Amino acid sequence: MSPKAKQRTIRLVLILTLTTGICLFLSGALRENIVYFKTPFELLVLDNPSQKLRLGGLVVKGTLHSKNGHHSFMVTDQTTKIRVDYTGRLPDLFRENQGIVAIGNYDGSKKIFTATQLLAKHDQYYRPQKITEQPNNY
Amino acid sequence: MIALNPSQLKRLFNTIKPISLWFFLISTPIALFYALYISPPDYLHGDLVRILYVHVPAAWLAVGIYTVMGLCSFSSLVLRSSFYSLCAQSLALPGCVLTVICMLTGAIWGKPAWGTWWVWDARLTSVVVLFFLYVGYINFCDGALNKAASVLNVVGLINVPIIKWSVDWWFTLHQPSSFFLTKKPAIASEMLIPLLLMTIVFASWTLAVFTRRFFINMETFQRRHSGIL
Repeated sequence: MSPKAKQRTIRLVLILTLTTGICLFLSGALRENIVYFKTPFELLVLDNPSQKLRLGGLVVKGTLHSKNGHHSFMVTDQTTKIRVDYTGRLPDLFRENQGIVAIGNYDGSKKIFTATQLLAKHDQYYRPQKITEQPNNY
Repeated sequence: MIALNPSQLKRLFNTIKPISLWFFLISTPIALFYALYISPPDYLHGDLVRILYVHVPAAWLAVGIYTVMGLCSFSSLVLRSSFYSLCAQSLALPGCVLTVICMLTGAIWGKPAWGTWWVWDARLTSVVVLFFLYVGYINFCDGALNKAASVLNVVGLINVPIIKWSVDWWFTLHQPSSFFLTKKPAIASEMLIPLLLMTIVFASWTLAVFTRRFFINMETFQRRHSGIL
């Protein structure tokens, strides 16, 4: 092989390695994550719900009950509701009718999702605060 | 782009060179004043929303620059043109810098808003891929024609629609798009104005850097290869 051809081969191999690396990195990093969370409906149809997973949906209005740092609320995907229990400080952007991602475990017999971490999932709407609006903090 | 020949485009770059710098210098204080002072706090995010005015333009341009780069690389491969390859090379660094700014500001926003600096959801992961594509391209740059890097650039174009529609195709923590070509944006006009102003800031910065890098790179290659262009 001429030295030029060798150089081109080396370069091509490097590109292919890089591409493969990226794809492997992607499939590794994504795996379950390509879909970042399960909806309440998907959770209910799971056959092995004991492992740690992420549940995403909207906080149902009027379902938040808090006592001594223990919170419980309902999460919905407009078809199914699931109760989520969480101990700790609620995220700053936790709101009724806004999105939430709960990370934790689901108890199929009690039908309660116990969250170890909550991530607020805000929507894509941005607007100034209305004068009459109260900033509702939990 | 294809209708203009390289010498016409070079004249265009020369014209844009000083104009873009002036645009950048004049628009920056105006945009920052609007973004940091005049525009109102968001009903949900409060003053934290002002990160949007850096994060979103950086994201738009990081992806937009990569697309233009990809088209230039494609042209350079097809036409065996070192002019288009030089265009792509001169865009790589600004694009990479803006990708990093996008990721950093996103993390700074995410920690108080979501509750975490980072997640590997489809949107964030595809932007990391974009970053690696930029770094890979810069690494493989060698000489005017640059075939290896150009191939990488073109192959990486597949990532652009993935970034754009990741939030629609899959459930992600990152929220869906607030901006549409055909319907009203999901953002109030008092916030849209500083956003567009900051986009002008970043775009003019990109053009100012690009035009300068283009002629510097061109001189470097002309010296090395004595008159390829």
